[in-house]
Amino acid sequence: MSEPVLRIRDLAVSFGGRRVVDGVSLEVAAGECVAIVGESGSGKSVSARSVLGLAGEGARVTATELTVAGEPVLGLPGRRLRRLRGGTVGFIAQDALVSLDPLRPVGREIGDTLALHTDLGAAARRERTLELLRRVGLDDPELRARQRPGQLSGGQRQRALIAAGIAGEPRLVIADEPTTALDQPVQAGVLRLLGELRDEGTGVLLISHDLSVVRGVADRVLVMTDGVLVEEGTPAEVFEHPHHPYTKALVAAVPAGRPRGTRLSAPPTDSAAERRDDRSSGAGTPTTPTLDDPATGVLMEVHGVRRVFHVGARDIVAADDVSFTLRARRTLGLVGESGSGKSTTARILLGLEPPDAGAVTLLGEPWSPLPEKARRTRRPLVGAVFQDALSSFDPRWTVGAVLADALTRGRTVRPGRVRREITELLGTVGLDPDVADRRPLHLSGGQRQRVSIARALTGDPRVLVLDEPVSALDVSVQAQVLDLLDRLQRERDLAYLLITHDLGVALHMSDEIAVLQEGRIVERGPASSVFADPQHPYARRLRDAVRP
Amino acid sequence: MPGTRRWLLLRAGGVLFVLWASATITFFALRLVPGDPAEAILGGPGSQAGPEALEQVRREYGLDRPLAVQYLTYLGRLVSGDLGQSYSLHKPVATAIGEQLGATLTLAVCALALAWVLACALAAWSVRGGRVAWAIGSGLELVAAAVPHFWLATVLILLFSTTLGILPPVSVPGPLGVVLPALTLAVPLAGFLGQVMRESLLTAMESPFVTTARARGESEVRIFWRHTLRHAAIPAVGLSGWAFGSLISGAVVVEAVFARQGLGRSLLSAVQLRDVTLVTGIVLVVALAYTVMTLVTDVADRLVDPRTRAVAR
Repeated sequence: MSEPVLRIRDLAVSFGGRRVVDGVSLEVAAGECVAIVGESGSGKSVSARSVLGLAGEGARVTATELTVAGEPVLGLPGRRLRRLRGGTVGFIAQDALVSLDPLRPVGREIGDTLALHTDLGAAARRERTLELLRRVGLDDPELRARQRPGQLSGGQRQRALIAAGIAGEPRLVIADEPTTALDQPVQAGVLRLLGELRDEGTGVLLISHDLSVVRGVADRVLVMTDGVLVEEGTPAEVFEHPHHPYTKALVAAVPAGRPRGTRLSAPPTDSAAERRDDRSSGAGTPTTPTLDDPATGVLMEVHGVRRVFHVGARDIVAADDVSFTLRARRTLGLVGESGSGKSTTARILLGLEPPDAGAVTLLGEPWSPLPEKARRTRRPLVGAVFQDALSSFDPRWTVGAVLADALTRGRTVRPGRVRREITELLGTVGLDPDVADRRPLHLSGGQRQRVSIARALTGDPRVLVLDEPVSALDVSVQAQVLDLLDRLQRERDLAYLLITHDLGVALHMSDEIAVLQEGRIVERGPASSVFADPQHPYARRLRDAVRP
Repeated sequence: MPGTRRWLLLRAGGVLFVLWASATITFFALRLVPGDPAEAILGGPGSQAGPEALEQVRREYGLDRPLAVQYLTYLGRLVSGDLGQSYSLHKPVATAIGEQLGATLTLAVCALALAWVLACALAAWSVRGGRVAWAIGSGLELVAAAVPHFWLATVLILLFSTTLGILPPVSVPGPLGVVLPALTLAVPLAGFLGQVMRESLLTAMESPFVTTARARGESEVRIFWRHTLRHAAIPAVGLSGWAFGSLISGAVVVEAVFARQGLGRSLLSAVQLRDVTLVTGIVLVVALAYTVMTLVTDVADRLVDPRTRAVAR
């Protein structure tokens, strides 16, 4: 075998005495895709960026060997290092909306790489830019090259970012969470593209927090936690026979294909509430009543709801004849790509958006359309949890103030008055009482989402609308939050409307699933069977996207 | 781009509206001032003008006609560029302003350009130079923004003229004469612009697209010129329209200190001599400069930040 394109031996990175990467060794051969999997803060991203000398300000990087295509990287002078970046090693970051300059057309960014690493003239660079855009699967490259990241869809701009990353014909591509924040079909497309690059002989180092993402494309998987590699093997080995406890937890956290009611996270030992939960459910045993159980009460009914937005001269149908029923202890999963009308449906359900036609009833009484005044007293019955917990809190308030505000329905933000209720609420969602004195910004993503669940529970609701509640979380944290939601539903007889673009999450959590496309429910049925034999082509496309 | 042309037409219409409004307000405001305009024309209450003289002036200036007619006549004259006759200078106001305008505009444009250069340099240096440079930069900006024009002018004269003797203490014709007045106006403005730019420069430098650019092999210098400076410039460009207006009012002090001719000095003497027509004319010209400059910064904003094109139709 020839010289590997990347060889790392005993890589260590520390920031001001704090060691974040310790003793990492790995190799990537030409035409091979190696994946590093771990949660945020595990050091996987820093390790990958060290290859480019971009570990970050104040980083101390040491290694007995760190070579790219035989050339040592450490101690390389600035000019040589810059030839390496973009030339020998291409870098693909996550979220092209912010990883590409929002003020410049994407064609210019690609052209810049070409100008730096090739000796093509201006006309040839233009030609090559279009070629690259076509190569990454973008239609109408002439138009795309002139558009800015903000004018492209999530998938399009991620492809453009990849085009910029491979413009210098690198021998190694480092892809740092390249599919995070993308819808699944789009994600699948991006991963296929990386697979093609690998097949053409490029070495690919793929970084992800999501095992299921790397499963289809990686040749070898390295699992990283706390700055150390703990497991290595083919995806099949790592998935089927994980050895290290962390890997086992990571594999168990993947919701896709796990039956409803199965624990995803390891049972905690310190929380009384969680232990109670374990006894009642029995880990691993599905206990949910089946769909045809007649004992379940109808809480919310949606009848033929329609909503059209007028944008300029265009009409956008966000909801078209949408009907469904929410029952106690039941979850309806609403899936579909971004822009399919999921969030509009949620807003109508929450009474934040009036339907143009149709109606929503709550506990048999009218709910929407209805004047807000008539609805307000019953608002506590319907709670909501959103994707971005951080922006749904006032950043200047402590968690205690947020909950006090919700508990007293806006009459006070002084946590002292309702201290006991706050402590109880925090306990319910598995948080320590002292979290009440902290500000949302200083909490982890999982803690924030627990606080927003606590807030949603303040009015003793019957229905919870969960709008992408775990999309912004690492898989392992996502597992804990999903387990929490599952327990709360059984303890409190809640009805859930779960909105998600992640089919795995939807299949794990839902009793019934409805597939939304352009505002219409195009397919629906029990979660166990809806994707077994999807009728609608769109539903089939969704299913194919999650198949490994 | 048809969208751009439409936008430009709309904005130009806005400029005309503002000009009409300021002309109208000035016209009626002056009629609300107590006293007889004819008497003011003849030199104020102290002039002891006889009734015949007053009557003659009224007829000459059309003051005996109904207010609406006077207003329309005034607007008609404005459209044809006639701003009236200056009593104190004994020549048409348009001519008087025309003689002074060039000097003031030169001063303002020089000061604005100088302020941008100073602000950019200071911001770029203090952002990249670590914590100490950051503290020095922010301190300098604060002091610069707080310094009054008349004091700064005096200090600059003492330093460059009296001590070093390399620049003239009063404004002389030619490029050398504009240096000290422009610097006086530019320093406080650079303080303001620098503060705004440094914040946005720092935000831009921490953005992920800078990492992407580095990972592409761009040098720090190119990243600064091609990416971060442009992001930093957005708020400063927006401020420049306002800054230009403040430069013209700042010119009143600076032109007086440096004995430099210009609109500011004319305005000062016109107010002292109660030359109402001249004051009106200067106010209108300043309003015109203000609105045109705002239009220019809006155009610049669209060039620097293409995202605004999608919104501002």
